[in-house]
Amino acid sequence: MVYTQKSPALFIIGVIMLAIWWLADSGTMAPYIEHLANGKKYAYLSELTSLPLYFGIISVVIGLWQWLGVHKENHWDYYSSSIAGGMFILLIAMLVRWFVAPEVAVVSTSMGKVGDTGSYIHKLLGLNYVVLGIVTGIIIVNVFRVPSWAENGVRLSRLGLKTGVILLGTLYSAAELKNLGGLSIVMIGFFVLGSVGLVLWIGARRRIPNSMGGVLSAGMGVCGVSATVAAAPVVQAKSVEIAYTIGTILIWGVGCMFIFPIIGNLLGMSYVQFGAWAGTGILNSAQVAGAALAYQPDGIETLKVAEIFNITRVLVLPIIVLWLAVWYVKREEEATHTVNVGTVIFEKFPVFVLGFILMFALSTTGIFAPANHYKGKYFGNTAETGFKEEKLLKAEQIAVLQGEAGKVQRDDRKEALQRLIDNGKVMSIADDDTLRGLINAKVLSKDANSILKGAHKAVRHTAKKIKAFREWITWLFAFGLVGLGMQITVGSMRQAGGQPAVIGGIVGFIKAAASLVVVMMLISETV
Amino acid sequence: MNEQEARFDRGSALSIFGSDRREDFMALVFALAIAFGVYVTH
Repeated sequence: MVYTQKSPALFIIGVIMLAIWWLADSGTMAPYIEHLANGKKYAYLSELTSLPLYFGIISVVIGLWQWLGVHKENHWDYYSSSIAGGMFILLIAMLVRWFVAPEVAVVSTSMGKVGDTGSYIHKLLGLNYVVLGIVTGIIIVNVFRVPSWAENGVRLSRLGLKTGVILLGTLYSAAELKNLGGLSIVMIGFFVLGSVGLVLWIGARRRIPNSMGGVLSAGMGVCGVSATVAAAPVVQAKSVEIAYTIGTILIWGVGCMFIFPIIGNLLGMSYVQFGAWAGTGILNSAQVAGAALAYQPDGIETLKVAEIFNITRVLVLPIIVLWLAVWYVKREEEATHTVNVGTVIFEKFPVFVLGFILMFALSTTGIFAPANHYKGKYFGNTAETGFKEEKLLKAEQIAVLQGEAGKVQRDDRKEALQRLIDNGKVMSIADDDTLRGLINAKVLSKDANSILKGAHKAVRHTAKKIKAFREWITWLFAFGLVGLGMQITVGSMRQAGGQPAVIGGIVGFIKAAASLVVVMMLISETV
Repeated sequence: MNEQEARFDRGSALSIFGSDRREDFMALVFALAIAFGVYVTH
């Protein structure tokens, strides 16, 4: 059987990509980009003026060969037949990330902020390019259908996700661990492992498939969508099970984001208590930050505590993936016949998990980012620290800050701002944190806050390699999740039933309530 | 084998590869290639 179809589809995709590149690069699209920027800087211009060019050329060349060439049955024919579908998914991911998600943000912003949350509806609902990409995939497969020339490419989505998970290992380092509090490790360890165990236990009682229980336990226990995606291949979860888990997490997370601040205010919780509770009890990272900022909109203290707990939770992910790998293999094999578990684990152990650990090990050596990257490299006031003189604040910027310094009430903020004015740069990590709190408090004007943000960026750089890895991971996940959406049909959703939502609700409630009790009993003002 | 899986005579409904392990190795190869590229070019 010859798999490569003599279709102009890939060639047309390439032409569309090149057209997008040309419109962006020539400036023809500038007014539209300004509209999407919504008064801010458009974040994707460098991507828009490079990626469609590279992938457009590849698509046009291979597309012409697929369309006009002669094809014979062999391995190359089989694997190359997936390129058209892969580029189809990539084009959709590009359109959603660069145009659809920003447009949703523009419309959402024009509708105003939602109540007392201080956030727009697209932020509250997490309507970012990832969620919108999955939704687009679901719409394509259910309303239209995946074209036959793209079917093999859609089956590349899991490869993209696995590659992204392996690369995620590069974003962790031992230096980060040093910055994490002991209490957050104990609390998160207890609640993550407890939630995973509870979901697996209830799942077994309610007789849901092992793959469903496994993927739901990772999502409920660790950090929402990322954990779900990471655990899915380990427990061989189906697309519909992943979709159900992500849906359960997002619905529960949005509910928590509104309810947690109300309870926190009723109980008179301190910033540290509330941050610890939100970082433990809320499932998804975006909604942890949303709840923390909703509780303390004029400062950053709650958010900082919540993020410490959230980061600790993400770091537990490899342990959970290992646990689920062993658990799944044992349950699936023992259900049919007695086997040597060690042999089965060796044969079935997901190699991509080892890849994640390998990348983490490489990262801890400092090969991708020096250890001092994590604590800020340019705080010293000497040329030896690597700080460039042209990054010092200009006289007119200092004048703006001096003019508004009187608005600042808190002593620590006054002092940090004065040191910035005196030196033209942020002088320490503590000052950087304090000034970021001042930005979040929105005491100063937009111009002054923008100067403060510039001063922050001048001293705290993300290493270029880490930035590059984040971009790769972003695109691999975007690719994988759009393709994932294309594997979710309404018919298969109906077949799955409502068990995940019930189990997710029970475990989510127990986790939130128990972590509240522990936080109130054990955590005082300072961690 | 369900109806969807039966549509593909190579790989499965979820993957173009014949086994999960082969897909894992391919993901590892791609990830290492990307890491090497990032290491060399940045």
